[in-house]
Amino acid sequence: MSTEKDDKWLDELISQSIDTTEPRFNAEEWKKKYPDAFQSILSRRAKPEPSGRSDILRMIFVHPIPSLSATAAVIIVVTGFLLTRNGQKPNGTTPEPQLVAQSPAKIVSMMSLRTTYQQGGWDALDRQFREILNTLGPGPSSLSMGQLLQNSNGF
Amino acid sequence: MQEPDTTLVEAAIDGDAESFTELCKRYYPAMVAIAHSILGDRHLAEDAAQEAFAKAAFGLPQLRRKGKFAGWLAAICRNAAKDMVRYANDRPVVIDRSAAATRSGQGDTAEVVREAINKLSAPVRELVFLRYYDGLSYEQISAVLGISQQAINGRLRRAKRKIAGYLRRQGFGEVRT
Repeated sequence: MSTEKDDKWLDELISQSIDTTEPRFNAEEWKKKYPDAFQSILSRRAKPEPSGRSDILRMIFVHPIPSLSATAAVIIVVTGFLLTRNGQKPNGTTPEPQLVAQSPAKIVSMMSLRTTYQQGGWDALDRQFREILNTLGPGPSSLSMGQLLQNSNGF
Repeated sequence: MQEPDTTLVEAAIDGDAESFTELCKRYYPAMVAIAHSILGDRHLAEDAAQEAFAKAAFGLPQLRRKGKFAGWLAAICRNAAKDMVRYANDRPVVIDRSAAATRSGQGDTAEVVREAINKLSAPVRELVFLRYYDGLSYEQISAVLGISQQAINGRLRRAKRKIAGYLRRQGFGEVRT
């Protein structure tokens, strides 16, 4: 008998002797049998990066201890308020603001006041008001009625 | 067009369960064949293959060379099967290799062929199981064992010569004719 026929005979004999039918993988059965292994794959899924704000909100609302959540909320509100206020103040490196108003008419204009506030904040506005008071405030007490009327009537 | 192993492995590492399932489907027959060559029982072999996939699911992020997935999985499967043999040897219940004979209904001839296969060295026996399991391509066998197709052919030829020699010594030459 030829080698080829020998080979074929042997192939058939081996195939018949061991159960060589193709095994099929049952994914559902495997997941039930090894839930931890399946979960270990799912746990590696990329999670979206949480924003800082949502982290803070989660800390406030999901925290198991209510008093800590409330404290955290108060701290956040106060911090936010302070940051907002600081943001409006001029920082230390900003040059000293110049007084915008040059005359009584300009001084009293809203535009002038607003510009002063924007440039120097409350301090600049305070200085501006002092200038106004110096300019428009009461005159020297030594002025007589005649002098006052002379100023008003132009003679 | 079949997705390369590397792509599926990378996706599975990133948590894509479908990619991992695809890898399991692809290599399940090979893993069962490997475990069968160690355990001598088809049902236990399927258990060992499933156990190997579970271990692979946990260990996948540690796999450095993604292209060597099949070989890595085969090593896990061999260990799982050997653990089962050790476990069985520690217990009064031993793996009954003749159970397969009864199921296959081939009687004495099949038993002698199995004896011949069992006399082969473990790596060659593994190759014989891989070669004769249905649905396994040479490419897959090559990937699992990490050897070329030429090497597979050479080793198979020598293995068959040994099996044929054993059968002749048992008087099967006469039976065949």
